[in-house]
Amino acid sequence: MNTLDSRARGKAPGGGGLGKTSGLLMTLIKKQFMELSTLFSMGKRRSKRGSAGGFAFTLILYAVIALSLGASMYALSESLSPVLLGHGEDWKLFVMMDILGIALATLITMFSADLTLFRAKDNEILLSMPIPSGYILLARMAPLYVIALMFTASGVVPAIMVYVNKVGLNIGIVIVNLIMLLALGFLSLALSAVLGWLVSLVNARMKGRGFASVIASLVFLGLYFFFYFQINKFTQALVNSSSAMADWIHKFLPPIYFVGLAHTGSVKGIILGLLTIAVIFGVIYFVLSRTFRGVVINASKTVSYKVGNGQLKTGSAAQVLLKKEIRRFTSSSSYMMNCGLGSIMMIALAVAAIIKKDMVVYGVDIIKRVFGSAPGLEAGLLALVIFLMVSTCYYTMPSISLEGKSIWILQSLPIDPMKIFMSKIKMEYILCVPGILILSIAIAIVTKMSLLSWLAAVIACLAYTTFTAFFGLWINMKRPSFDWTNEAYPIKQGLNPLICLFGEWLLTLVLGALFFLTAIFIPTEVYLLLVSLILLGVSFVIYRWLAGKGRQIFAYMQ
Amino acid sequence: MLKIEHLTKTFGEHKAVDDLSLEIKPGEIYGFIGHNGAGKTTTLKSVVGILPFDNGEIYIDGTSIKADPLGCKRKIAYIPDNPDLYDYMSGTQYLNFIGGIFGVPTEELQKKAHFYANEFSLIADLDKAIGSYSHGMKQKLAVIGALIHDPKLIIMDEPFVGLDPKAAFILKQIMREMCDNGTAIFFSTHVLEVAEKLCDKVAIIKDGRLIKSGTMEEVKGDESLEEVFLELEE
Repeated sequence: MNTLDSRARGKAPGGGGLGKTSGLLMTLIKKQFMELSTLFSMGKRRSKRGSAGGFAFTLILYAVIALSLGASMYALSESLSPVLLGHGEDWKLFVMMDILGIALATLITMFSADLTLFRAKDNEILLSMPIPSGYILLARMAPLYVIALMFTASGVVPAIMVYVNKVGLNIGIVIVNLIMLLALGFLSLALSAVLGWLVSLVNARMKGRGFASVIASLVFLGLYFFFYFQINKFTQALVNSSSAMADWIHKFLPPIYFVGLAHTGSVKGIILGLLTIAVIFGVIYFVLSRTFRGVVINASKTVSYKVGNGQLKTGSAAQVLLKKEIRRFTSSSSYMMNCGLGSIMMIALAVAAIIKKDMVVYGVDIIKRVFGSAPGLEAGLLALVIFLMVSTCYYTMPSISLEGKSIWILQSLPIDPMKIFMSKIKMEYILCVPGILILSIAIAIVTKMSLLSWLAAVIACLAYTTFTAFFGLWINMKRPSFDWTNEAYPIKQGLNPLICLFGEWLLTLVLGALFFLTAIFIPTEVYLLLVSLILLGVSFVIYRWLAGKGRQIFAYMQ
Repeated sequence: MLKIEHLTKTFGEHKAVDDLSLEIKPGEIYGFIGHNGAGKTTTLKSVVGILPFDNGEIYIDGTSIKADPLGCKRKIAYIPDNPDLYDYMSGTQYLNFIGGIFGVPTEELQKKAHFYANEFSLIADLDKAIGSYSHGMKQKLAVIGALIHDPKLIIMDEPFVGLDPKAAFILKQIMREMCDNGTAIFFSTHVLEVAEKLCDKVAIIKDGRLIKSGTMEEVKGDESLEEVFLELEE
C-alpha cells in the first residue's frame, strides 16, 4: 500500500493510524529531535558517525557541567543536612534543593523557551496542518524538558544522595525519588515555558522586539545572582529559623510541603506531591496551548515599524558590512543575550570592583600569599578574569550560520569574503574592547597597578579577543548550518557553542595554571606578552586559512 | 555578454546540467524554460558564481567567472527565485548596503532608488523592516537592489512570481528599456506567454540538457511556444 492509499484510508504512513494521536505527537517530537541532530552533523561530514560522535561529545560536556554543578550542590546539601534533616522533617532539605534545582533549570532553559516554543520558523506551516496546537507545543517542549531535567537533577540528586547516606540505601526510596525527579523536570519546564510565553506576549506589543527578551533575561539573571551572592546569609537565616520556616511552609504552602515530603517515601506525600506538579504543569500547559496559535501569529507578524532615519546614503563596502553586523546583532535578543552578556558582565564587574574595593585588594593579597608576591601578579589575575569574560562573547561563532537563507546576497555580490570575515571580527572587538578597557582601568586603579603591568594585561586581553574572534569564525566555517528553524540553534545549541565556549575556558584554565606555576620565575609582564604572541600567532594561522581555503569555502557554502 | 561553454554540474550521481552551451549578447533578453528540476536554477547559480561546476566554462563580458569571480560579479545583478533578504534591515538600509558594496554615489543611489521605488509603489514602505514585507514586496526590493548599480548582465530566476500584475507589467517594461540600453538579461520562467512576448531568444532545457535554443522565431516557428515546449517535453 502506498503512502497516498494509506492516508486515504485514514492510516498514517508507516503503518500507524493517522487518527492515533500518540502517533502524530511522536512524529512531531521526532521532527523536533531531528532538527537538533542536524546540528551534530553539520558541515562537510554529514555522516552518521560524525553525528553520533558530536552527540556523544555534547553529552559528555553537558555531563561535566551537570557534575560540576552537582558537586557544589552536594557540598551545600551536606552542609545543610545537620539542620534540615532529622526531627521527622527530612522534607525540608528536599524543598530547599528542589527550589535550587528548579531555579537553575528555569534560568538555563528560559532563554530558549521564547524562541523554541513560540518563534520557530516552521510554527506557521505546522499550524496550517490538521495538528492540534497543544501537540505542536508539547513536541517543542520535549527537547527543553531534557535540558530542564538535567539541571533540575543537579540540585535534586545531591539531596537524594545525602538523604540515602543518612537513612541507608533503600530501593523503594530511590525509585520514588527518580519518579519525583522526572516530575520536577516538568515543573522546571512549565516555569520556563511561562517565562518564554510572557516574553513573547511583551515582545509582540513592542516595536523594538528582542529588547524585551533581553531586559527580562537581565532582570532574571540579576535576581539569580543576587540570590546566589546572598546564599550564605540565606543559609544562615535558614539554619537559625528552619523550624519556623518549616511551620510556615506546612501551613501556608502545603503543595511545596507535599512535594518535599514525597521524597521521603510518604505515600500521602507522593500522591499529593505528584498531583501538585501535575496540576501546575496541566494548568500551564492548558493556558499555553489555548493561547499558542495567537502568540505564534503575533510573534511571527513583524510590526510595520520604521527602522532607521530613512536616508538613502552609501558608505564604503567595509562600512556597510560592519553596519550590517551591528544590525544583525541588535535585532536578536538571543544573539545579544548569549554573545553580549560578557561585555555587560565586564562593566558590572568594574563597577563592583570600585564599590567593593577592599574586597578586591583583600582577594589579591590572599592569592599573593599563596603563590608568592610576584610583581605584577594583579595584571595576570586581571587578564585571566577578562579571558573568561571574553570567551562568553563568541559573536563570530554563529555569525556565518546566522546568514541563513540570505547568504546568497553576500555570495552573489562583488565582495571579497575576507572583507566579510573582517566585518565579523570587528564586531567582536566592538563587543569586547570597551569592557576590557573599563574593567582593566577599574582594577588598575583599585589595585594600584603599574602602567607597564596594565599595558601588558590589556595587550594580552586584546590578543585573546583576536584569538577568540578568529577561532569562533573558524569553527563556524568548518561546521556551518543554514537550515535552522530557530536562531537559538546556531547561537547556543549543538556542538559549535560548546566547542567554542569550553575550548576557550579550557585554554584559560591552562594559561592560568601555567601562570601560577611560572609566576616565581617569569615576570608577569613577560608571561603576558608571551601569551599574547602565541595567541596572535594562532590567530594569524587561522587568518591565513580564512584568506585561502576559507574564501573558497565561503563562496559556495549553502 | 554571457557565454556558457559545455557547462556540466553533477550532484552525486545526478547530472543536473549536462554539457550546456549558450551565448547572450548585449541588449538581448534571453528566456530559459524547462520543467521543474530541469537544471535552470543550477545553471543560473553557476553563472552568478554561487555554485561551483564540474566542467565547462562561463564567461561574463569575456572574463571567466572561475578566474575573476569578483570582477564578474561587479557586472552582474542576481535575483533568486525566493528573495530571502535581511529581515532585520529596512528597505532603505538594504539599498544603502547594496549601494555601498557597488560603490554607487549617494546622489545616484537616491535618484535611482526613488525612481524605481516609485515605479513599483514601494516608496512608502522603504523605511519599514523587510521582515514585515510580503513576498511580492521583497521581490520588488530585490529588483530595485539589482537595478540601482547599472549591471551589464541581469540574471533572474522566476522574477514574476509573487509580483502583482502592475508590478509585473512595470518589470517587463524596465527589462525592455534596460536591454535597449545594452544590458543583457537571462531569466528563467514557467510563464510561457511572458517568455514569448518578451524574449529575443529562448532556450529550452530538459533533464539538464539544452534541447532547443535560438531566436523566438527559430524555436517556435508557426506554433506557440507552449505547443513547442510541450512537444519537446514529451
